[in-house]
Amino acid sequence: MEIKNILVPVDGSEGSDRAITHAISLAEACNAKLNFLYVANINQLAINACLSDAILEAVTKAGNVILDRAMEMVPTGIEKDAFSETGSPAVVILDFATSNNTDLIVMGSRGLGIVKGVLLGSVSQYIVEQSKCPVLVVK
Amino acid sequence: MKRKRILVPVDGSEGSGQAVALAGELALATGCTLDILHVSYFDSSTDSQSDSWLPEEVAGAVGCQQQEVLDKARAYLPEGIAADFHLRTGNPVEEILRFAHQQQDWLIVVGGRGLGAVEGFLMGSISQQLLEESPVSVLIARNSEDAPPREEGLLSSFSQLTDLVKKSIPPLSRK
Repeated sequence: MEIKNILVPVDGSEGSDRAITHAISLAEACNAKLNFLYVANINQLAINACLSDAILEAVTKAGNVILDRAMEMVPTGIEKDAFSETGSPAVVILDFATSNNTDLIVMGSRGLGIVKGVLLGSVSQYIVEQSKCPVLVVK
Repeated sequence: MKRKRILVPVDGSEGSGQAVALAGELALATGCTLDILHVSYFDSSTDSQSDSWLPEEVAGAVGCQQQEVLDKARAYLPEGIAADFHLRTGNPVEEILRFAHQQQDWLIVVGGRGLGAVEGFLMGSISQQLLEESPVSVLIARNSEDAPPREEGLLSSFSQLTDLVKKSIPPLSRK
């Protein structure tokens, strides 16, 4: 089993920054490609979207900022790509992993979820349980 | 951060075999040394000296079983990987975390299933506990063929619902 494609879901949190750093060093060692994925959580935004165009635009912009920052962290010589999707993060991330031949998912243990007190974020928990490929949970 | 050693706790299950294989792959790429650790609740010092009336599989010696578990793990190891084998006795999660701290392992690789007594769980209870309590990053190995079936539960039906809501909203005018 060779690691050629590494998926790094990003949300701009401290945990996702650490995941990016970890993923970069693994990609360097394995000569793998990095795919960064930002998922705008439409579950939370469905109602807001009705109200304001500005909010949607702001979310897209925020996602682009997070993705740009992740891409900038990668040293030259490592293949990389950035993707932006909308939906329920855990579901979208797993679908993306399946359809893009992902060999490894690298993610933080807790993101920017609502419930901060939980030991493992709900998104990470769902992915760890349901993923078909190995998952690295970065502390 | 020094990244020299990777810890793989094993229990003789298929899942921990996959963990050894994956960790071997990583060790090959990163030049790390593997620490392969088996923690059992009992060891040869707790084996009874006298013969027991209980059947062998209940009251038999565990000393040789521990060695068997490590031998099984060795079989999954790709060639040319530096690996040290260790045995510990006690509570698995506590011992694994203490060991990782002592050896300064930067990563723990576990099987997605199989560690721990309750096999029906989506993920082994020990893997789950490690994931939550470990100060070190944890990699959950998984073989795509025996991955659990996708849960068509709350999350996916919720995303279907929001898809529906999205579609029913008239497209927003953009400048």
